[in-house]
Amino acid sequence: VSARRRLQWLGVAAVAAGLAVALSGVPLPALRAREALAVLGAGAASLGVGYAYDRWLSEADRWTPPTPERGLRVPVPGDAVAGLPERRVVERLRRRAVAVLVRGDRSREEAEASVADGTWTGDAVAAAYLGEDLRLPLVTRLRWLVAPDSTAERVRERTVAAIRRRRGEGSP
Amino acid sequence: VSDSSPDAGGGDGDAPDDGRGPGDGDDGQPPDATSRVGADATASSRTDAPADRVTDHATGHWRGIGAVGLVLGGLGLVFGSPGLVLSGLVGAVFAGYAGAARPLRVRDGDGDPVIAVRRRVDPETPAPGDAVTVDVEVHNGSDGVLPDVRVVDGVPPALPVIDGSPRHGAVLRPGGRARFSYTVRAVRGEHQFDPARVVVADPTGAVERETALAAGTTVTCRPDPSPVDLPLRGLASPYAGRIETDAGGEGVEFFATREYRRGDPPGRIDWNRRARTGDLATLEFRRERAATVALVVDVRRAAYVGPGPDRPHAVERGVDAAGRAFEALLDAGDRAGLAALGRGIDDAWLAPGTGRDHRADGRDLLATHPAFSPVPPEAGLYDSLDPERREALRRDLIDRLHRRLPAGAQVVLCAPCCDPFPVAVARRLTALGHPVTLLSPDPTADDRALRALAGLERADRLDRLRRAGVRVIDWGEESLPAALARASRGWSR
Repeated sequence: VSARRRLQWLGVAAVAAGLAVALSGVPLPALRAREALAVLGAGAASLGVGYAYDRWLSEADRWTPPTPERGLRVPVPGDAVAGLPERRVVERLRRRAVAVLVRGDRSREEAEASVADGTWTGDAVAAAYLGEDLRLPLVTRLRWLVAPDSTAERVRERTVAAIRRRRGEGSP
Repeated sequence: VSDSSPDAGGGDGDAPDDGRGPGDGDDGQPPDATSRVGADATASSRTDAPADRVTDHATGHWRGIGAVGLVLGGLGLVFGSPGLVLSGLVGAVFAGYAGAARPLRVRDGDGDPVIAVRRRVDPETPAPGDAVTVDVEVHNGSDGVLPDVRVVDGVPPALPVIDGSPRHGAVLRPGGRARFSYTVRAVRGEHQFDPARVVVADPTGAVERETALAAGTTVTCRPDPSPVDLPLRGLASPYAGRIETDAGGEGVEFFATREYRRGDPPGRIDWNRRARTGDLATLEFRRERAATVALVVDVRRAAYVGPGPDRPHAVERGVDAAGRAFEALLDAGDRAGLAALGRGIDDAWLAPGTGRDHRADGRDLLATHPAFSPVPPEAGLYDSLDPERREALRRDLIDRLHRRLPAGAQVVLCAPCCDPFPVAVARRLTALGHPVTLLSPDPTADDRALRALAGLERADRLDRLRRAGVRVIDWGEESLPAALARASRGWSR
């Protein structure tokens, strides 16, 4: 710290000396002084640009106040599933579809086959999403390319709705 | 609850009826917040380890102007323009001034804070839902001006701020004070305020010094649960009570007559029959017995789920339901106990019992024991274990609960069932001879596909349990009595 202090004082002294010279009106030796000043000025300017760049790059180390007034936030069930890979999400939805078919007096094999070939629901999107070797409609696939998040949500919503219909909930 | 795994806390040597948590009052008297807090929660604790930490921040507020000054001055020199040089000089002076700034002192030579925070809460023992006013006073005890003091009060995590703001900024002269106040909504539990975070900046704002000032304030909120009768199951204890058994004996309702045996009390002799036929017969009444019920609340981290902000989460609703059922059971003369299914299983346990002290102990346990806290436990060691070890710990947790249950005790398990564990608990306890009723507060939302998926998974879990002979009360948005009425319509005894 003391070294830094000394440097600071040196800087202050240099600025003061320069100011004194500039204001005193003493004529400087014309030629060399001009060139020396230009070099000095260029150095200072580039140092300034460097500073500005550094500031632009670096995050300011400011105090980040805590936010205690929000109250308690606990997770909503299902939100953690969103972080899983697509394959696992499909697997979990598929298990629900199979479960509802098994409850409707089908054997597990029949239920799995029915989900795999998409015959368990009349919704083509839901059938393709959970099925094997089935492709989503072309429009949906294009949409998935453009806006993957909202399209995935829409497709999953339709799948959930299809499962619910099989459970006997909601509108047919 | 400093331990991080369900089996932490060592053996279970304590006898089942020594189940009072360490947080309980010594004499059945609820510990009073006023005695702990004092008239005005004094400040500037010097022992709190985190409160002693001081962090400095170089904000870099003036680095921009320093850069501008250098560029302008440099260009001025290159092009020989005194105006530019002078304007650059202005920047340099600012930058130099800021660079020379030192953090202001927030602790004196002994390490004691020079700023004190005092906090006053009113009321200190609110009922759930009450508005609690918090008045905070910040006092500058140093002999220098503090030109920029910013305070964020340490509002307990479970208490939402409903009015005003726990933040304040002020200029404090030596000996000066600043006051601010805000309002929080009371939630069940014993809530410690965290230390207030205080930042003091020097006049230029170039350096900030951050510290934490403790003012040990506590708000204790005990609900006054209104009793709700849970439908009980047929198995009963040897104590007289309200479960109708299929055995004759003493009681109220006529059950059968049998031949007189020597020693039958004269009051139970069927004198009508004696008059009619001359035979001696004894009346038998339906024996009514007390139930022994353990109310078990799932308090694992996985149970801290809810449908959204400003809505009570599953543990809060589970504790509420357990509290109301506890009151009703004791009112009816049954033996009721309480348990936390989770890390607190070893000390948050109240063996089934009756009586006024027992009732007070139970209320106390639910209101203030850390295991039942409305704030989820921190993720700990347990969450980093491999799945097999976790599975073993889960089984151990069930065994531990089972060992504490008196033989034949029935279990009311309050759990949201958003993971498979409560299902395993219910099935295992059923297999071990404890009739289980699952009271499941529904924490799911269905505004998104995957949230709806969680709802489907939970519904399927509850279905599986119903098929396994567990009584299930699916408690949605409606009131608890309404949920009970709806569920019991679907039951056959």
